[in-house]
Amino acid sequence: MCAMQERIRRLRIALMLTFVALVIASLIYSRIMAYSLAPTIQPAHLQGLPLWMIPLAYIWDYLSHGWICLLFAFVAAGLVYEFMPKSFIAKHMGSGKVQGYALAAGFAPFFTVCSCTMVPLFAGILYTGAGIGPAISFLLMAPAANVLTILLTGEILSWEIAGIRIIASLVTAVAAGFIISKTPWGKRIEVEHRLNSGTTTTNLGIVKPPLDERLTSALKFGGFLGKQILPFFFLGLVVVSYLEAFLPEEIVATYLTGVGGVLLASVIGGPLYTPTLVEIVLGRGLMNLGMSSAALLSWLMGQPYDIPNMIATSRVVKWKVVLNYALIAWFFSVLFGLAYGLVSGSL
Amino acid sequence: MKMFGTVKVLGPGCPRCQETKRRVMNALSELQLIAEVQEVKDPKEIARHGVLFTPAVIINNEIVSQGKIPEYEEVKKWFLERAPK
Repeated sequence: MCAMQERIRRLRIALMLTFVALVIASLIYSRIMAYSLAPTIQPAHLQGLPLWMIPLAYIWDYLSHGWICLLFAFVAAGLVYEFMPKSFIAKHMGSGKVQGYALAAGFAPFFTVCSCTMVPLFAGILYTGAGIGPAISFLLMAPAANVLTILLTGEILSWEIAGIRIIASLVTAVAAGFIISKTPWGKRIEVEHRLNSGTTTTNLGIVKPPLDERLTSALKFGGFLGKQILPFFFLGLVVVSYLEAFLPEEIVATYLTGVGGVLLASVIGGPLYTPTLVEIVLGRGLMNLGMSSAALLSWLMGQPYDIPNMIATSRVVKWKVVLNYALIAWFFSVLFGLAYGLVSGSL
Repeated sequence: MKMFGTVKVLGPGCPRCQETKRRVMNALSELQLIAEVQEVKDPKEIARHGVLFTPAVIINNEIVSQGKIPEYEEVKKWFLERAPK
């Protein structure tokens, strides 16, 4: 029984690794051939099309250029999630202040999770005794700077923005976490959770499942993420296609550039709920219509504190804390937007 | 049918958690075991069990899996390993 099973296992591993290698190779190939993975359609093109064709042309533009990128992003997200040492993180989260922040902010980018896992994860971090600071840092870092989001920001917008998004999110996340952990109400929550965390559960000594099962799990998770995210992504594309076709560029130029643009973008981009990845698409649409890069950064930084997120989190910590981190995140999105605008002259 | 114990499936209710619960129930019925299957949906409750990643499965206070949908064979193995003789 063992030899046969072994051979089947090896075959499956080989197949899956080949698949992954092909995906990576396609991505690299497209880079070498300087084949842009970003959409190229412009508002002017869209305006000349019949009404029903606008979303189709838009979607085709995105897909024909970006399918490799999307495929790679979901495969990467699945692989990273599976092979991240979760038990290690769970065990070490609670062992000291700096370590907690480093783990939370440092590992958060690797957790592209379905949004439903985000809140239990946040609560879980509180219960490991890591403190409210690292927990908030995680909450703000993960949606903004995870594998999926960053890959797509880089491809569809620019790698400069993607890099800055990471740095800005990191600073915001740690700052918000730190500030809240110093407030009396933040501390109270920490104490409350630490007192309650007498867990009666023991963790099974983690025996790592065989590689082929982990690879399958990874690819399945990537597929699951795709199934969850892509339908809304396409819906977002439809909406944005009409926006790009019909929103007058003068309006965008007036309201979404300059200091006012940064402020407006931060206010809308924050509480406004956009499904995962749609904020990138919408951001690009607005850019095509004339929004400044500074406002774009502000817009993107609003991702972690949209209204549904805040409501879900309020079930774990009180609204006071939620509004706190939302306010701090908003403040930093304005700050970074303005700073980036001034430094890069793109205000 | 043998009396088994308590199995908890933890997750906020998304499709992955439902699928995990389905596999647990099917495994129990296939192995002819009776167990109390609880769903834990409240994030605070989930965290209180020491679970960070959902969906998670806890059998008689032991965390056997977290962060993924367990394979059906794996679920059966858990029960077989712990079934009363």
